[in-house]
Amino acid sequence: MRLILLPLMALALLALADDQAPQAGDQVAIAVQNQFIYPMPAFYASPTQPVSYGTLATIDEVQGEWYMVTTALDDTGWIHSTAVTGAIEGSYSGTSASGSVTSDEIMLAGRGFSKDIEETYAGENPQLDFSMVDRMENSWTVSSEALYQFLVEGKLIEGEAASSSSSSTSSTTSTTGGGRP
Amino acid sequence: MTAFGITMMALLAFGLGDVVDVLEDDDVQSAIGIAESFARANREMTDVEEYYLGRSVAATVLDMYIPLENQSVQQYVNLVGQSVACCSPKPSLYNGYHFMVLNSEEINAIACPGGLILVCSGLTDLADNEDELAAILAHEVSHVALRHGVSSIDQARWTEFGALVAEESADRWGSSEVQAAVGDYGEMVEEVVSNIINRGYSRETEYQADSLAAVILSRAGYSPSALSSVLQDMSAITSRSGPGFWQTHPSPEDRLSNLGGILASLPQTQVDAARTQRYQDYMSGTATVPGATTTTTPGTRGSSSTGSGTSTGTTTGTGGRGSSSSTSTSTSTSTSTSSSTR
Repeated sequence: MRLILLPLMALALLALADDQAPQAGDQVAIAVQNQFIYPMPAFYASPTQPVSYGTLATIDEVQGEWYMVTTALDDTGWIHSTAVTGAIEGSYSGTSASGSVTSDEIMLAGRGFSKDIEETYAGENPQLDFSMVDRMENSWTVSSEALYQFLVEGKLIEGEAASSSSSSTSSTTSTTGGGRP
Repeated sequence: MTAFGITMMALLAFGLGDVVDVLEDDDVQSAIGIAESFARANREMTDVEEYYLGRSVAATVLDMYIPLENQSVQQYVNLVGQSVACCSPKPSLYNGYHFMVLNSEEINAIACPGGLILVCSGLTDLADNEDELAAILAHEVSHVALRHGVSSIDQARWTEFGALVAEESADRWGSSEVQAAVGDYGEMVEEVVSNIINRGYSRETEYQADSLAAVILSRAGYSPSALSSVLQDMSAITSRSGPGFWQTHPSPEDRLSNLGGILASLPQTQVDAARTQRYQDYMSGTATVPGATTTTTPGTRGSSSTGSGTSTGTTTGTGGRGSSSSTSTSTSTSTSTSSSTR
């Protein structure tokens, strides 16, 4: 009997392990650092609110690659689908006061490659200058505002004005309100 | 819900409730536990792990090169890089995409796992305009989005590390396990560096990155043909000796041949004069981004880039950004305060 059941269990686990795209009503967790929710589904939109890694959120609406979510802290806005985990099972529905959750992925990350591992590795390899990596990550940060301005100036998106730092005249007719909210 | 619980639900859903009693047997539960550990050992690398692996790969690469000390160029490359990254299939990474230009005449770029992308100035100098720079960066973003760096890691090595991490009991994750993890980590860093710098990705992965780059360019509003323009510039280079790019990439001619089909299927966009103008301004140092002169201070939210160039044009929505495609007519004329000579 067990010889029959074990392959059956493996098949069931494999089937359930398939990544199903979360749907409206599903709960997910923020899977990236320095993330924001936006008033419209676009990275160049002025962010509504920062959200922390691990924060739980419920999907209210799916629109292409973007989810309208309400976080455990009751903030609502759009977030890109790649910034969240897959749908979280029911047993994770209890949230802490901070609205954070420890999903399986996040738990494993704590034991996998982490800051602690990097620091130990850096100690064993003093020739490696991690401050240069920090500099790369921190010196040329692009804000949503700068990105929006850059995209408009480069005619990569439609916008309301070409430049805030130069004298300009502009007239824009858009059927979708392509300007920044 | 545990895998065991999920399995029970699945079996019930499949009309196999009669075997549930058997599955509750201790031996079977033990087998399920083993199956769970096996699944974890064979799990994919998480975004967090990929990020920390990539940081050490970048640190190793930066031990071989020095950054270009031109803050205007660095900021500009990051602006272009973010413009294409947000149109990739994976725009959100654990700590985002970051770009750095290296002061090296090599024609080379290194896409570290997790989103750290290093580009030699020899490669950026090949670009004639912003669209071609975007094409170079889109190719590297594609390597990151397609996880080519981590997928080049030996599977057996990763499985061994996964088994170590999958230890359930917290008290078994002690100093010896951490030390073993650091050892595995170091080996994987060396493996990725060797794959990227010395051996290079397979021809197939390079072709994949080219194809995806063309799609990203199209979604971003850049000209997809800019990628073939860069490859044609590379093709014109007759001296192809030395380490790096020429040993790790297929020939530009082969890449152009591979790219033909995908380019033909994408809508063509013209290289915009305003973009070319600002490319020349930024690369020549006549345009600067406020706050970009201090390298030790992180960029602050709310900063804006300076405008340059004079342009008049009609644009249509690309549909690739945001949620809505649109058709609109936009005419703008701006007079720049900066000069525009290269």
